Amino acid sequence: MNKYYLAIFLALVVDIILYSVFPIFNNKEPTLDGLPFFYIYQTIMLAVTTLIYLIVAYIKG
Amino acid sequence: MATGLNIDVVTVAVFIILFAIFAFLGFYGSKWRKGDLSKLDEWGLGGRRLGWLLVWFLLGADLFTAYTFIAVPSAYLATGSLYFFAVPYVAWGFGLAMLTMPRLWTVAKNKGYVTAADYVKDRFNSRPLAIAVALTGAVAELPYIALQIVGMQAVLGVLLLGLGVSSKMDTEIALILAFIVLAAFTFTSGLRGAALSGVYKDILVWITVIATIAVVLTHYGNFATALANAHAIKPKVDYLTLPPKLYLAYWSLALGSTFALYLYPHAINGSLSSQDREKLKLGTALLPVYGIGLALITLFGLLIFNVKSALNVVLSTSNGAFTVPALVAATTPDWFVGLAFLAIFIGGLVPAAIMSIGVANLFTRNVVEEFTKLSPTNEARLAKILSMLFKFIALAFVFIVPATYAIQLQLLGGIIITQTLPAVFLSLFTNKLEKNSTLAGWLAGVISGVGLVIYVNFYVNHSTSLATSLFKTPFGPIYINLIALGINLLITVVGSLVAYLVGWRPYTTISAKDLEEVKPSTISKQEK
Repeated sequence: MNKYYLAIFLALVVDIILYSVFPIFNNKEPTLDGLPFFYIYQTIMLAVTTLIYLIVAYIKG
Repeated sequence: MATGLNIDVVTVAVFIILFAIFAFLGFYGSKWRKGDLSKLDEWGLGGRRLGWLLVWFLLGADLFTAYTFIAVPSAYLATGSLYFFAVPYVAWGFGLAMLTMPRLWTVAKNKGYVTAADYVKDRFNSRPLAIAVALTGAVAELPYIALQIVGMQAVLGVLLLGLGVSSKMDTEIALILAFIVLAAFTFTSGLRGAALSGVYKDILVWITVIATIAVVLTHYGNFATALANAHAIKPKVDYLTLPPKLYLAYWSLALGSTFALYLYPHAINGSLSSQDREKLKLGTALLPVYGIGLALITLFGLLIFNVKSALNVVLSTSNGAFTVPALVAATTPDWFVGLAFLAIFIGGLVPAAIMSIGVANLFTRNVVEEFTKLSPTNEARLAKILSMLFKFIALAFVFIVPATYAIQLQLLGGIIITQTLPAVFLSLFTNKLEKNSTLAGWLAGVISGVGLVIYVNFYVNHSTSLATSLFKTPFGPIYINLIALGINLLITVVGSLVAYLVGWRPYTTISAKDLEEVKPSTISKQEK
C-alpha cells in the first residue's frame, strides 16, 4: 500500500470525525444573519474538507 | 392560485432561447475533440480523455441534480434539520471516492475495463457475481433517473401554473417532448456532449443559487425571521438544530449515502473517463465545493417561510417538489425566472443522460455480452438503444410514484447499490474475498434491505407508498442501508473464512501492481 492511500484513508476518518461531534456543532449560537451554528459549521467544514483533500491529492501514487 | 409568481411570456422566451443554446452545446459536444463514436469507450467514456476541470464538472453534474434542487429542499421543508445530512454526505462521499476511484481507474486502464462489473468478473473469476453487480447497478439507477424526471416535471409544473395553465396533461406533454430531445442528444453525442452541456448547466445553477439567496435575504428577511415563521406555521418540525434522538438517523443517512455515491454506474463511468489518475484525484478533491451550493439550496426550504406567495403554492398543491421553483418565481424578475428554471430543468436532463449512458454501458457489456458476442459497432449501437429504453422505463416510474416521496426513491436505490460494496470497493484492497461468499452476502444484503423497507413502510407504518428508509432501534432510527450492509459483510467475511479453512486460495489474475501502477505498455499506446 503506498502513501497516498494511507493518507486519504486518514483524511476520510478525520472528516467523518469532524461531522460526528454533534455536541460541538449542534447549537443555535453563534448565528450568521440568523442562521444557527449547526448549519454554519457544516457548510464551513465543506471548505475545510476540500482543503484537506486537495493537499492529499498532491501526494503521488 | 398562481398569484405572486413572476412568470410571463418573457420567462418562457428566455427559457426557450437558453434551451436552444443548451441543445446546440450538446450536439456540438459530439464534434469537439472528436473520437470514433461508433466505439463504446469513445461514446461512453469520452475516449478517456477528460481533464481535471471536465471531470470536476462531469462529476459535479451528478451533485447539482434534481436530488439537490427538488428532493432535498422538499424533504427539508417537510421534515426539518434531519435532511441537512446531505452536507456531511457530500463531504464524506468524495473522500471515499478518492480512496477507491484511483485504484479502480488504474486497474481499468491496465486491463481495459469500462465498467465495475468488468473488473469484478476478473477479480473474482466469477460471471454470476459480475452479472449481479451489473444488474444491481442498472436497477438502482432507475429510481435515480426517475428522480431527475420528477425535477423536470416540477419546473414545468410551476411554469404552467404561473401562466395560468394547471392542466396536468400539459405538464406531461411538455415532459415527454423534453425527453425526446434528451434521448436524441444522448444518442448522438454520448458522454462528451453531456460534459460540455454540464459546464453550461452548472454556470447557470451557480448564478441561480447565489442570486436567489441574495434577493431573499435582502428583501424578504433573514434566517432568524424564517425560523420564527417556520416555528409559527410548523411548530412540530425542528429547523433550529438537530434533536439528539435523530443523531443516529442523521449520521447513518450520511454514511449510507456515502457508500452508495460512487457505486452508481454513472459515478464510476465519470471517474473512468478521466485522462489520468492525478487529474482524477484533483477533480474529485475539488468536488466538496459543490456541496456549498447544495447546502444553500437546502436552505431554500427554510427561506420559503419568508415568502408567503411561494409557500402558498407548495401548501395549496401539497407538492413539496415545488419548493425551489416556487421560491425563485416569487422573488426574482420574470426573465431571471426563465434562466433559473432552465438551470433546474437541465439540472435533471444532464444527469439523466449521464446515468442512462452508464446503465446502458453496463447492461450491454456485462449482461448481454455474457450471453452473446457483439462486434464493437453493434456493441455501441445496442448501448445507445438501451440508454433510450432505460430512460423510458424511468419515465414510467414518474407516473406511478408521487413526487413528495421522490427522495425515498433515491434512498431505496442507495440501499440496493450499496450491497455491491464488498465486491467493488473492498476487493480493491484485498484479494481475500471468496466469490461465492461475496455473492451470498450481496444476495442477503439486497433481500434484507428491500425486505426491511417493505416491512417498515407497509407492515409497521401501514403507509400506502414509500415514506421512510429508517428502521427504529433502541438508539433511535437508523438508515436501513447500514443494517443490510452489515448482514452482507458478515456473510461475505465469514463465508470467505470458511472457504479458506477448507482449502480455497485467492484468485490472482489481478496483481497488487495492476491496482497501483499504470503499465508502460498502456501509456505508449495512449500517446500513439
